[in-house]
Amino acid sequence: MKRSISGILALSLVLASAALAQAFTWPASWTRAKPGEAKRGGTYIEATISDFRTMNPFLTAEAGSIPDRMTLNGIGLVTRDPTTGKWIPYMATSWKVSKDQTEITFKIRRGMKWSDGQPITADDWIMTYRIHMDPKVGSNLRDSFFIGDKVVKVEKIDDYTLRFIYPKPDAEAFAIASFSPWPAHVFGPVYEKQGADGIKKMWGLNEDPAKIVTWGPFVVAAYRPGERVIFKRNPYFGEWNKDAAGNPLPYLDAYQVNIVKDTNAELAAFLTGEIDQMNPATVEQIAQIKKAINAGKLDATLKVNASPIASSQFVVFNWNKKSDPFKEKLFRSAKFRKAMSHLINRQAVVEVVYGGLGTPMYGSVYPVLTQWINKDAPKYPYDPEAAKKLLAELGFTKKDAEGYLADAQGRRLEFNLATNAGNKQREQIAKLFVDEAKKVGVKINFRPIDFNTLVGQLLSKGPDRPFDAIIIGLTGGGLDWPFGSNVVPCRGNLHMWNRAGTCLDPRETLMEYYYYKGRTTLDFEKRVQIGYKLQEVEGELLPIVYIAGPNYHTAWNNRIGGWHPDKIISSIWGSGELPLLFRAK
Amino acid sequence: MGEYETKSHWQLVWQQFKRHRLALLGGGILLVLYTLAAFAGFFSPYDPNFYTLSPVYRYAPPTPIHFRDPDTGRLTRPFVYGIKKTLDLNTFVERYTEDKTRRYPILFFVRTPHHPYTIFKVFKTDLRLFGLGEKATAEGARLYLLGSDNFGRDLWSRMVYGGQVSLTIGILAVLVSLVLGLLLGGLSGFYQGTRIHLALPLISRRTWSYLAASEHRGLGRVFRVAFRFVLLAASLAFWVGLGVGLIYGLWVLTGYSGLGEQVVETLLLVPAALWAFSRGLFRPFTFDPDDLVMRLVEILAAIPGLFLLVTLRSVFPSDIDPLMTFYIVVAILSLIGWGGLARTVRGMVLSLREMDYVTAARALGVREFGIILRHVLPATASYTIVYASLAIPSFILAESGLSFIGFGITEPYTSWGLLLKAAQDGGFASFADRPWVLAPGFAIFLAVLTWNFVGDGLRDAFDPRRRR
Amino acid sequence: MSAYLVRRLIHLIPTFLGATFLAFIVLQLAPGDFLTRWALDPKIRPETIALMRHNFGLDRPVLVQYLIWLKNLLHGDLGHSFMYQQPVLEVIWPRILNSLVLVGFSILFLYLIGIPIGVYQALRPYTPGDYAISFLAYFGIAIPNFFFMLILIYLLVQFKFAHGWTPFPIGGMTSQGFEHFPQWRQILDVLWHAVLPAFVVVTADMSSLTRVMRGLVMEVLGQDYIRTARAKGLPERVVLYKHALRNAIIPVIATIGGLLPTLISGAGLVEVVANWPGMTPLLLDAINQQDLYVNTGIIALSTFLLIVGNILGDLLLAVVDPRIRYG
Repeated sequence: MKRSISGILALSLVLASAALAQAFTWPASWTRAKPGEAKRGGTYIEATISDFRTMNPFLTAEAGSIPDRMTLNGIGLVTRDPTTGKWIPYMATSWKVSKDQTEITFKIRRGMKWSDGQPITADDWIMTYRIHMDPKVGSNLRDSFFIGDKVVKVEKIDDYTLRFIYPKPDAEAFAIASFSPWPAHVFGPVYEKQGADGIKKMWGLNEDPAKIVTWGPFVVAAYRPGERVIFKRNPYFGEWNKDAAGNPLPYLDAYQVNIVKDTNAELAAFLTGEIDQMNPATVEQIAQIKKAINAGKLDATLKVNASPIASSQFVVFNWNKKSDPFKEKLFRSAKFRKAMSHLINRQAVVEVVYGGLGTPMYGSVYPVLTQWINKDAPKYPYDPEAAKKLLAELGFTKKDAEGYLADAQGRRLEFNLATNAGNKQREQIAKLFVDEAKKVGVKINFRPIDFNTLVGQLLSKGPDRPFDAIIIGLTGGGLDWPFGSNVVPCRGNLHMWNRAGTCLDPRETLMEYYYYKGRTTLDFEKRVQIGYKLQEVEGELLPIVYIAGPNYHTAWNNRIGGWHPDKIISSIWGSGELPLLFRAK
Repeated sequence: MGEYETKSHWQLVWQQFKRHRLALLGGGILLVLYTLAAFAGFFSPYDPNFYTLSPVYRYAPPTPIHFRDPDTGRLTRPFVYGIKKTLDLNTFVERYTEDKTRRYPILFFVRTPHHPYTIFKVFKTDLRLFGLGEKATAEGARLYLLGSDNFGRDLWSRMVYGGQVSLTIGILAVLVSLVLGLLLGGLSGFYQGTRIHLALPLISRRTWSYLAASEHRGLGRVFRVAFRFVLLAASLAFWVGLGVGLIYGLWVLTGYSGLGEQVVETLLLVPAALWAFSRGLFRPFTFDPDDLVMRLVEILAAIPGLFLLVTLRSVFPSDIDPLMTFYIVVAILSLIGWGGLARTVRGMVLSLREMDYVTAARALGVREFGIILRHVLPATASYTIVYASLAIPSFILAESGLSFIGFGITEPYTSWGLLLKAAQDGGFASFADRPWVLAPGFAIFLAVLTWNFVGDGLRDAFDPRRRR
Repeated sequence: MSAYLVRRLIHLIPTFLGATFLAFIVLQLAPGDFLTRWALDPKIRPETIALMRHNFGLDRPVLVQYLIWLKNLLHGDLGHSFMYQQPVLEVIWPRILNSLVLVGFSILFLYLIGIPIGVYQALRPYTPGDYAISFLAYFGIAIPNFFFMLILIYLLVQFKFAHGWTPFPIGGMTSQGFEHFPQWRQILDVLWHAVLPAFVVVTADMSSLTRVMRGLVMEVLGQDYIRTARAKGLPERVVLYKHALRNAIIPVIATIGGLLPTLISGAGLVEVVANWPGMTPLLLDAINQQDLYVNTGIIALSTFLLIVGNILGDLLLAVVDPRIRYG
């Protein structure tokens, strides 16, 4: 399940009947159901592995939280069309970009109502923005309103017009404006009277569901700690959300999420029909589901290898080792890093670690972001001979008594490699890397260490940092500009290979230049071209050696219909749009 | 009148133990398990970390062993066929079939020069009980008694090696708790009721007369007086430390909390500090060692091992071998696990010290520590042995629990818990498609069961009332 | 007696302080804190993390944090959960109740079944029945609980495939639509869900209880007063129930106090595999995320119950055994 919405098509139609609500029509291309096939009523059940923490949208910190689920993954004025990836108006009806591209004025859709029947107006966005921005509240969204050190401002023009003012043109302007509004008539009085402390006390997990208000398709009806949350249909949502045939959405009466702390238990629940959807993570789970389907025990649809997932596994080498000039010089050498990339058998990683269902990676852009991948950027695939050659060029030509490569001074090619203990996949990737390296004479000492220690080492600053190489992964990075704001710039805190505070390699400087250039370009096509250039430089420098990631698979019980057409099932768009799902049987 | 055969205590115990058939059976199985683990290299056909990437034998089933020649139909020396791997595109699972064109005999006492191993980390050798030989291995043939894991590593070899960790971890942990539990439980019971002065009053008259007076003369007297002044300095340090600590607490609390609440803290802490100082001036600080140990037991019992484990694991320097780290962590865990034993030993000692033979030893002028060591502790031996034999299996189970939550041993090392965790990760596929991966679970089961049998047998053998 | 009780209660204070302080130190010694993993999120700025750390009070010295925690405890406040952004007590209370149901149910099961079995074994020692029961009890102890539960769930799934229904629910604590059940059905529903996980817990603990019970009864049956009672011609039933059992059961009663902390600490990894929303899943989350005050709160509660349980056990012992006197 992922985000969704829109319908420029229907706009003109609805504007004609302005007295009624201006409806948003969910395009027929977003569902595999035929028009008119959908039935009304019933419950849809899915599962989540992590417990819910709060119902408070200003305190929530993790994906799939209750506020997120109530608001279609936290969308608002605009949303993305999964068929094109472009931003389209949702709770807005239209927008206008100023000439210097630093202001966007949104017209808010009229006739929208909160689940308690109050109208939705510009004040709701303003209040939501104010609370998110209060540092004492500690909202996770606060940082999204910062571009560098400058703040994005939101102004109310009138009840149905909002203006976003950016410090400079920004690639993520629409993503920033897409935050979900929350009712000002609920949060406002508390915030005015008691400030941040009042907000923090609201909407905890034991809040009376009757007090929860949302604009989204479903609103919390009941929560049982550690067990499940049940949402019921918000009747006001259907007044301005229609399917292609003009029927109000959502079709379902209720939506339920069970908390299942164990993947085996989740599989059992899916196999026995207790939950309607799951994303199997391993080839073993897929095989079990397939077997049950083939034996006629389970009426379900399974989509295997729908897309790679949006996360990465990589090796990063430490450029700041003042105490060990030999290693520092080595790790700062692009040739060395390219040699290491040649030593990573990505095919074997996919086969052994992901059971054959994974995708090799060569650069920082996730393979699932197909529009962004520059196919011509340099790649350094598994090739021990090429690695040997590169290492020889660095002076490692002799073998020492134990059979490891050494340079003219007899210094052995040896370094430490760490990853977080308990992460089985990374430990296995490390093992494959270590064993391949040993074959050509590179000695890697692998030690799994505690996650927090690892992060501490990775994020440490200065000219002498305590690690050699680390295998870790990152998630995040969007469709608008898939490069990390604190990864690429040399002063970013996730510029993990070099935290001296300045760029050390001219190619780092160039990457930083392209990063900011792309970030401040509003035009999508131009931005993609800049992204391509960035990837070329990145391929030359290879600051991080990317390895591979697993693929996204999804399965659903056929008693629920209205899923995405195959074309748009992916780790980005998920398997369906919640308002379009319906109970077929 | 017939003659009575005199038997020593241990002979009697052994005789009784032999009558307990389950215990004997358990002992025999344990002997086999420990032998397998001790000479793991000899009993495993492959190195536990041996795998190839072309092809990857991911989750291969046990290799069928044939005893009959397919051409003549006659019995022949056992052999296996080569492996053919195909991918089932329907379920995405690998399928393995026999390649009947290639035949490889199983060799006994085979040498593997490219994969040597060591026994007890000392003797280096490459002799293995059975295997296909390195030539057959290079050609892609495998002898998987229990199938392979996702790397294509031989599960039997890994299980034999895993036993080294799983079977020894309990013994190590129990040893540590035994030493501590016996010592502290013994001391606690033996000295129960004795009051020990931790700190002296600072200005009472008794203190000063105590410091000055001595029955010794000359140099001895000088030492005595010097020693007592050291004692006084220690007392001073104790009282000042206590007072300063309380005042610091007061300062810290009032410094960080809201103004309105300061009153509460002041009202609470000021009298406490005053009380500490005044008490330091006039009265000694004494305690009962038994109280101290028993409260310590309660405090330690309150620390959940899981938290301690997380902390310990992360504060260890990362360049220590993970296997070593794991052993140290378990040893430290058992540092807090001696409470139960200490409680029981204390109870036993409490009654023992009133026994006639102990009183006699005391009257004879045997030093107190000698009494504990020579007379009291041996009397608890039977309980101790039983305790140990029943605690070891619980540690074997604990190891699997730790692996389950990801706090166990890590690659490239292996243990039964880690292997069982891998089976658990496979989920239902482990039951339905490859039940042989459950073998490590069976090994855990067997070890725990047999240790319990042995423990039961020992208990019955030591207990005169249960003799038959 | 009351003097003894007062002394034990006074001892409770330093023990409690010592235990919680030690726990606090242990928790804080671990590198990093709740906010460390946020640092790897490319969307979060380091300034924000520093700010949050200050808001959570994690930038203060450990001793100060402990003293403040202690002070709040005097006001009945166990602190604030970082994960849930709620008072700790509100977070753990529902979980404690859930665990209480499962653990209470299994303890009841355990004693109701374990004691009679132990007595049976003591009355017929070294018979095939005795051996068979011992073997079954060992069987329970020798399988890791979490694995046993997984096997049961797998069997249930297979049963469902074969017959289209299951005799027991596949994990969880309540059925679909639980909210609309009448109260009697809600109770039955929860118990029905508890049967399998409780069974797994009971099998693991059964062997020690039956062994202890068997030993105690055997020992008592060998005592002189039993021989006297039999010699007097008392019916075997009276000898057994009035004299033997009553005495044999005393040490078992003493252990009941020790069960107090387990009531809230949960049934262990079974809860994870059986998807029971008890303390264990919460505790594992809190440990992984270093949710300091949830961890400390759980430790403080279980320490308190442990000490109280010990006192209670000693008192119980004095009540059932007139020979025991506390000075």
